[in-house]
Amino acid sequence: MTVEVEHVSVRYDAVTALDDMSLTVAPGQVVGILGINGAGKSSLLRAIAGVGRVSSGTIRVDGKADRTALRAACAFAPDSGGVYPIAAERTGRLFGDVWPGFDVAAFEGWLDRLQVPRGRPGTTLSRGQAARLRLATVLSRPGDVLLLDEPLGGIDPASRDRIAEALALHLAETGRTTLVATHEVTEVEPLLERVVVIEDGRVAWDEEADALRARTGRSVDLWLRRRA
Amino acid sequence: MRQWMRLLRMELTVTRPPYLWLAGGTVAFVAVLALLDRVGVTWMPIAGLWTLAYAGPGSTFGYGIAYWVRDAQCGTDVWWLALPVSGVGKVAAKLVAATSLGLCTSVVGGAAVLAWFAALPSHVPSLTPAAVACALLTVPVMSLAGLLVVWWPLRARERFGRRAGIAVMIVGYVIAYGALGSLGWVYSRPTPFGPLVVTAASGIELPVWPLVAAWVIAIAMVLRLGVWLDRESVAGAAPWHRARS
Repeated sequence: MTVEVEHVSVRYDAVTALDDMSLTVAPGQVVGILGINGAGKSSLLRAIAGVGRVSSGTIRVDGKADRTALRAACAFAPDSGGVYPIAAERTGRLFGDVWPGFDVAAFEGWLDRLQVPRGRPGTTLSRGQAARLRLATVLSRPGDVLLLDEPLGGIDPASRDRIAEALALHLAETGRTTLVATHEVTEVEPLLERVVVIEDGRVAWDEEADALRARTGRSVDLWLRRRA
Repeated sequence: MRQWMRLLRMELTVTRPPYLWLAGGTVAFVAVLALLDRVGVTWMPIAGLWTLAYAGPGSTFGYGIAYWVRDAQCGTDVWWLALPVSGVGKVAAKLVAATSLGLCTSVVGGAAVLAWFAALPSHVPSLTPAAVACALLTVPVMSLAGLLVVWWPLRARERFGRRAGIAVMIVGYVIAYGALGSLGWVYSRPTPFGPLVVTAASGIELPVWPLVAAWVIAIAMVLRLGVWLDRESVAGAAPWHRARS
């Protein structure tokens, strides 16, 4: 599915999170949304997912712009929350009951693969464990567009590479259009086909990842660090 | 309809733990009432009857509304928002779940107070028309108080940790149950200047309407603060974000 962001601005009282931003993502493309804290990455993902504020502009996914369509098409994992005060496996069964297309078997598999503790309420999990649970949930729900906000946030370094590999395999199998907002660029870099850097709510850089690496002779992570 | 029932079951499952917290607080409150009665603060059990009869469904209804407002304004529970069920169905499930669980809390708490009254028959209040009017007023006011005793503590716990959540909950209980309990008691004591509120066993009295107005303003501020916490957090512009960067 194509994601189109046209002249979108997001304002929270006195703060402008996105400023007249435009961006088009081709079907199946995996895009890294990079930038410093407060650059507007989360606001962009939330707006595309149909759960965040849009002060002006239009967002379309597969040509549809209404929020219900965005929410149905976009599987969005936020950088916090998204866990309930019940055991992880129970969450999956509940979603399986009310959410057509939610794959409970796949969810169970992800719980094992991501090593999410079973039997413990989601709200008692550590930050990294909650991030794993969010990933398991979002990868099991329907939606052709995958939006991941800091998917590896809080996850220990030893596990990040393994989780990134599992994620890469999933994307290769499903061909989901994906936007990943992250600071863990090194671990996610092998997934990225395109790099978009956001500064002050605007697109400051937009380039194919391979082209960027060939041009600069550096990894995206290193290039980003030098750029800062 | 079947889908709606499934959604309701999910809501009941997911929201039950916070309600257990509320029930625990109610039981603790009854215990405090009993203790105060022991030391001679005799109006407290009557205040407790009024609040417990209405605080359960009222405050939990407010809790349901608070979460609905938060999700609608801030997109906090992204899974709930993404569920392919009509918006009306989602809100109805949330409110029905909240209110039914609140009723259970209220029944348990109310029974405890009635049992206490049975041991002390002199405390049974008279059901004057003014008292009934008070009860009717208490329901919507306690709906708002639900924000204070449940929602705000949860937000404080999420943001600042368990201790902060407990501290805010205690303050919330003292204000919501104490103030509104006293409101229920003194409505049966009208004066030419309007009903007066007995604020303590010492007999200090205050006009009721400024108190009600203060309550409405306070709860509106609580609601605004809660939404602000989420919104600014999403924007990365809250004070703790600025401090970190």
